[in-house]
Amino acid sequence: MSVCTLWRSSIVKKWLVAITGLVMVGFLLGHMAGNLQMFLGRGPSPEATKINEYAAFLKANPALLWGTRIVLLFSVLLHIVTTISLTRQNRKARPESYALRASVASNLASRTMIFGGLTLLFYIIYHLLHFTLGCVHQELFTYPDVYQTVLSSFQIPLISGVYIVAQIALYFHLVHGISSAGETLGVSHPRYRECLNRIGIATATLICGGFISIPVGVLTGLIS
Amino acid sequence: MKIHLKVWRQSGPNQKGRLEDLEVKDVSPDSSFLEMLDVVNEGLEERGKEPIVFDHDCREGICGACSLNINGVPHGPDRQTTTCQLHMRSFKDGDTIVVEPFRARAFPVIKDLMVDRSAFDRIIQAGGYVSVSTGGVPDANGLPVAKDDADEAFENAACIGCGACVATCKNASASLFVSAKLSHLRLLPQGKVEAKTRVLNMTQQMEEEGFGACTNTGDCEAVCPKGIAMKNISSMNVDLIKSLLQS
Ligand code: HEM
Ligand code: FES
Repeated sequence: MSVCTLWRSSIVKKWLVAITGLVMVGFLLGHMAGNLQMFLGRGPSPEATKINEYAAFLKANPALLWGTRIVLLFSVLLHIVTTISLTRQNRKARPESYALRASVASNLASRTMIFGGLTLLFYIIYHLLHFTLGCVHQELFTYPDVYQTVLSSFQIPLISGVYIVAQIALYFHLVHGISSAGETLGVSHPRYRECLNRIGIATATLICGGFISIPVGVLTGLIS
Repeated sequence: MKIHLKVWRQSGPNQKGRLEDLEVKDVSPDSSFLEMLDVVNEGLEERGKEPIVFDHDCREGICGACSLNINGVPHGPDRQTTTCQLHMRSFKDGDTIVVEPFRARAFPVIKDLMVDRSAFDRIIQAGGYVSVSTGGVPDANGLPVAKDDADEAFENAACIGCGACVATCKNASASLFVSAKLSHLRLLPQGKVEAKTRVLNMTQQMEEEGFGACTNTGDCEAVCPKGIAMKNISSMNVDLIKSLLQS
């Protein structure tokens, strides 16, 4: 079975989308939990601040840091390549659209996965340039005082706004994505599917709510 | 009742089509949707015009020949009802009804509302059959089949291959059709023998016909006139991956 033959199967591609998607969901759960340390506030010195200690811990464990980064980069790239390939196949499958089309069961989230996904792609690039590489908003980049960088960034309403909007896009992507991934990977019984939908909504709410709480915390002065 | 129809007219496969407006008076609420179109066609013919071409055969909801996207939904507004079983009482006096052919690259329009669904036949030819020699009629209960399996196989055997799943899917995916055929055969002892090659061959043919992929939106299951369940698609996905790993 050659790679080309496998790549021709949309079902194989759907498996790749689902697995890489779930890997990213797993990462986001950890990333979100780590970031919530912003709420533990500033310590007596930048070095003794919880979130900075966490950042230093990651730096001190290159195997963990780079292992995660490589798996993530691979997942993101594979996810994007497969979803774009699938979306192109799907578009080609209906060259002439209906004058009138009504949706009976599908919701907005499931019909707009590629738009939400591409929004996330732009957001991820911006986010890395902002917090990881410090290329945009250089004046705000105070590494290794991560706490200060986050604080002064989110005090600017426009930056907070961008992050909040991105999380809303992520919420819609995950609300369909998580249950869809379960179905793609074989969760088939109607009773488990019902449960899967709830897991999807709960996980998406947890991840996006957790992330949004940080800019909101800064804007409301809870984090200062 | 009075109905305002907007019907897709297209003179041939490679011609440009358009929606044509037709006023239909004195429609009996008890007539079926296709009977209403029959009356419209009689009127058109009397006036020396081309009748509207549409597919139909049994007119009792069992053959899968009728199609039509009615007000944006394959087989119209009633759930688990084929177009031939849809009645005009499901509409209101004075309604505007938009009628379009099923649209997919794999279902090219032949004329007006009639599309070529032989892509489905070719998928069946690729593996939707049982080719073991079963011998004579077996003794009753000689080959036990679990009740749950028999029920599920039967539910999936109810697929009439109309193509509504493809027509409604935003991706024009044939996943529901193919997976129903696979489950129907896979669950029975006669069909188990070729299950592994069947899933490979039928899904490969599905791709070659130019259908889209599944996004699990759920529209297919909702419009299926026979209520075929989406869980078949999950089973198909798992069976395909298993077969690929073993081959
Ligand atoms: C970076 C840009 C991204 C793009 C372009 C993108 C695009 C897509 C598209 C188009 C689908 C639907 C595939 C289909 O069923 O037809 C999808 C599914 C999915 N995405 Fe993304 N996505 C992106 C990022 C993410 C991220 C960051 C996550 C997770 C945190 C994620 C998780 C998922 C999951 C779980 C699915 C469901 C898989 C399935 O239906 O089997 N995606 N993505
Ligand atoms: S004409 Fe046979 S199912 Fe409608």
